[in-house]
Amino acid sequence: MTDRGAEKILSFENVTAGYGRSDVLNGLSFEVERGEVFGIIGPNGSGKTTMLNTLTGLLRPKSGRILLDGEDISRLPVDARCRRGIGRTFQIPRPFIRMTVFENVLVSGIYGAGFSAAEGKGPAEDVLRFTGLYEKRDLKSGELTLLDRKRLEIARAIVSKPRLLLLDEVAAGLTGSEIETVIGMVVQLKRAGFTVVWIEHILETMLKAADRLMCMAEGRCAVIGVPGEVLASGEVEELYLGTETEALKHAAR
Amino acid sequence: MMRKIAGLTDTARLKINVFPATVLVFVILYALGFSGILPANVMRYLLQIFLYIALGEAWNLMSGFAGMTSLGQQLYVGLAGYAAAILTGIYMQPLPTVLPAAALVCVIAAIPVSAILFRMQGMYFAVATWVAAEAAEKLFLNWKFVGQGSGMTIRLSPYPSVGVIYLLALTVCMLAVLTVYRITRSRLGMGLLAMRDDPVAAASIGLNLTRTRLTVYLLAALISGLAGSVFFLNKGMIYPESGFSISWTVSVVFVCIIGGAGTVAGPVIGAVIYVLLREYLAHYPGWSNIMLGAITLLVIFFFPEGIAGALKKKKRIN
Repeated sequence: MTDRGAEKILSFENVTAGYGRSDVLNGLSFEVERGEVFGIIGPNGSGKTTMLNTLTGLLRPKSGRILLDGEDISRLPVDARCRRGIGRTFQIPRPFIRMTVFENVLVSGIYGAGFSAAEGKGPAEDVLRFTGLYEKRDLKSGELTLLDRKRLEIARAIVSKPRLLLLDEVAAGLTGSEIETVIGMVVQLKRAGFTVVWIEHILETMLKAADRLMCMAEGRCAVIGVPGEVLASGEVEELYLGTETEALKHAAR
Repeated sequence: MMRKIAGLTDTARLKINVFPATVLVFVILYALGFSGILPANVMRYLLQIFLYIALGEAWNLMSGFAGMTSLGQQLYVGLAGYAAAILTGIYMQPLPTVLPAAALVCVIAAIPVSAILFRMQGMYFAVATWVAAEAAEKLFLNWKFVGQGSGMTIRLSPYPSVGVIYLLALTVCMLAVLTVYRITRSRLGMGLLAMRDDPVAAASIGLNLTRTRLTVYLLAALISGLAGSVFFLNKGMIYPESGFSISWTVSVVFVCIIGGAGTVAGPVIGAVIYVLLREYLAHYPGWSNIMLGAITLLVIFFFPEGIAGALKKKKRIN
């Protein structure tokens, strides 16, 4: 599905997954190229979260394969996938609230990248500077604002230098200016060489940061391409009932 | 697994100053034990404190640090007691073999038990640990080989003196305190705190939940088994109700909540208070449980992090 000759890092091959007898993903296939910001949109119930859960290992696919750099990771547990190079953030931040900001990032480096505490200190401080949390490193993470918790999620995910970074609705719940901050951070992540898979409900964010966009519907890939084209497509307009896409087409122009 | 962590925050650094003081206390307690100057009744009080500290540290490791709340540590207290009775009474094994073997029995038994328990989490895990201990009690109650309800006697010739049992209890206590202290300063310790706060997020940063839970569970079984075997060595006999009673866990929870769950010092403070209070309240039969319950409620209300937690917070503020 990649037509630009770029090296693919992630492949979903005809993946079916769901809960109990009901399938949410119905033969989902797509590929992500190394170094790109790959956006995923779709209406509620389209399977975005289920896709993320199968990718991170919280849910095992019933059939199909997930390949990371050619290795089949479909049956690996969550922690093993992290050590293979999948870092993630959560839609509702899940900091280790009784640890400090620094300890949150350090523990991630220790378990994710296999750092010793001494080795992990430098990278932890680097990512705290990158995410703007360095001055707050000794605060308990439970004391942070929502934006700072989202920053912490990113810091914790990138300290292990993952091959693939998954952002799950990182802009959700933020104000307009805070969303701009997050978009800026994603752009910086791309510049730093990270491959980002970004699920987002706020479509405007995708226009500013995503290289390619996939719109999901009924557990499949409905449309995939550059963001402007995808958002202007009739299928996406139909899926979103035309409510948001008019504004987006305008923004895309 | 237990690589030392450097560069932690102030909370962790405070522990460094406590370490030499702790070592000094153990040296003094050993010197008192070897000198023979302590009266037997004082040694009996102290060895009770040592054993409750060890049991408290084991429970604290699981429930306070790892968030795996257990109501069934008595399973390993009872198993170790019975292992000691069987090894001495039936197989005529000497004391140096009995205690490590009893602890090993607990670790071996803990492996299949954990395979069942780890299918559950949170409240269900806690109840399941209790059910496992109850099941063991019923098993031993109906098992002719171990004397059914009449229990078994620990037979050693010569039977170890209270001085020897004091030293054994002190050793078990020291091992428990140092093991848990070392874990809190290690990679595993940080993983436990992460797992306690959020297991899903902990797995997503690369922590193997099953291996971490198993490590903690087996360590807690080992420490509880060592403490249990020394406890019943002191008692001289064991029967199912004494070995597998829920009152073990009730006492240990009291010890940890009063002292401070999630701190190494908590069970030490809690065990001293518990043993002294229990002896004092024994003069007021019928009131002891009411008083212990009331004290627990007061501590939870005024010092939710226990005495050790409150002291640590005060030191941080200062």
